[in-house]
Amino acid sequence: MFPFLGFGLGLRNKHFKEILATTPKVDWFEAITENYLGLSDTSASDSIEELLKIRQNYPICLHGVSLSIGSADALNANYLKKWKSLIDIIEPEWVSDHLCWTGVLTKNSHDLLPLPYTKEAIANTVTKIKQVQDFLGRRILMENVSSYVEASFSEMNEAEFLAEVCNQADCGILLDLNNIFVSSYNHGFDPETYLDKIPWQRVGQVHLAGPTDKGSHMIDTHDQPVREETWKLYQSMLRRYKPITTMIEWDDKIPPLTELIGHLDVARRFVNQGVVLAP
Amino acid sequence: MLLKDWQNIFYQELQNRNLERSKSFISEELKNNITETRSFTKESRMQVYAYAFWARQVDSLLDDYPVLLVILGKKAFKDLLKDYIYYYPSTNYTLAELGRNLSKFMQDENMPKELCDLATFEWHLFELEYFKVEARPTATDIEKGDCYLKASVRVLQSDFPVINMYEEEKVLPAKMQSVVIVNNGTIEYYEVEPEAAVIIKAIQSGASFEDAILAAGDLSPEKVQEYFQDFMESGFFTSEPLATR
Repeated sequence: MFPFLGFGLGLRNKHFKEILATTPKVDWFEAITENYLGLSDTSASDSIEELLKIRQNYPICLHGVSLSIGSADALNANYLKKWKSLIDIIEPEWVSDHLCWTGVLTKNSHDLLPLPYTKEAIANTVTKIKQVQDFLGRRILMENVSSYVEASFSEMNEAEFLAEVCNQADCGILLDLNNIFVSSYNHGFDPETYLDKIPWQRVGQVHLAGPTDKGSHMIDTHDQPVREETWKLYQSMLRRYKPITTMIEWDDKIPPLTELIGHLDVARRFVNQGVVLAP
Repeated sequence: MLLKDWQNIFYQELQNRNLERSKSFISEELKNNITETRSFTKESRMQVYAYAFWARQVDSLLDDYPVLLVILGKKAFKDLLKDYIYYYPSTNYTLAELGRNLSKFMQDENMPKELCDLATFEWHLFELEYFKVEARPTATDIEKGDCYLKASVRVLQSDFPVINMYEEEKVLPAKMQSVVIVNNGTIEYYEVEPEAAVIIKAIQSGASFEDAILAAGDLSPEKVQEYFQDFMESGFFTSEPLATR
């Protein structure tokens, strides 16, 4: 469903000049969609020119944070139009956003908020994903988010919800293994049972990142190295399925590019050497 | 519970938190519909979201208004921003839009006019960074009539010296100042004569160059020529019609 692009990094302003100057050993980059959409009343900003320069040397995927696919509100037509225009310019390998909601009644929280895992939420989300895919003319990937709150009236667990939504909508999955670890820690479930439910043929991309350990809970801060527990999930994934396009997200206290590439090489080694792959 | 009800009470919870009037509040309706563990309580779980909700938005605005932050001080400015976000919640997909109504909110709150104008000035400096750089007209473009006001031009007419307040990072006594802000690759600002500001505003409102000049009053041809030469040199015009930008 999605080709293997190798091992990538999140594209961050801090590294732009170095990437353009040195063409580092990274297979692809993931750019944040909203950074290139401009304001509501402007055309796309000049930062697109910089992204296009990187696009000349690397495959690019676009990763959004504001689609709010699970909201009870209708989809934001202006956002979709701008997103599509950006896709036409950048020609990304694929595009993704989160299986969550970010706002309601036209108000935006600018956070990835948890959905209740209900049949009603599935129906709402599936309808929206289909609308988006029809509009964009391409399959999108939906990412599982980390969560701190679960609705007590949920009718299934998160992994079942994710699988059901993506199967019904016929979309891809961006599986964030760090988010699975964070949520499993916060809600007390076994992350391996989560992986048991994943329709692997739909998984086009994997996210890795490091959370902040608050003792009683984990917060998905993307400012730490990938934890041992998450690397174990990565290895578990490789035992269950074939190598999947992988990237490391690092959004705060961003280390030098060479250090990030070192973290990425850990994933590369697991794939190249350490793990017996599934047939 | 229906999806829309879940989302409404969840959002309300975020919005009502961190304001002095409703600190550490968790609604009964939400409390009854979320899970908890012994070590991670319902209250603490919602606090993670509430902290992110406020911190992300307030921090974004602190970056957008660096001089107001210096003048008001961090605590007072953060308090102002929390009230602003409460009364003007974000309705856009991008955080970059969040500060668009801050000056209006400050006026609603009867804050000093000089600070409201400074907020407007800082907003324009920020918003114009998102505009594409539009090509300046060549002599040939001008001869052909391909000369338009840039989309990235803003005019601010204030009773206070906003440029000086911005540069000196302090409130200064009243003194009328007309300012034009423009994206020329970098964001630039120019103090102009009041009549020049009237002309730019008139063109911005759709008036022809001739009508815009008339709107500025009885100007000598030499003065008009001087203004337009300044406009050209300052990069207020482009050869690109609005529809193509």
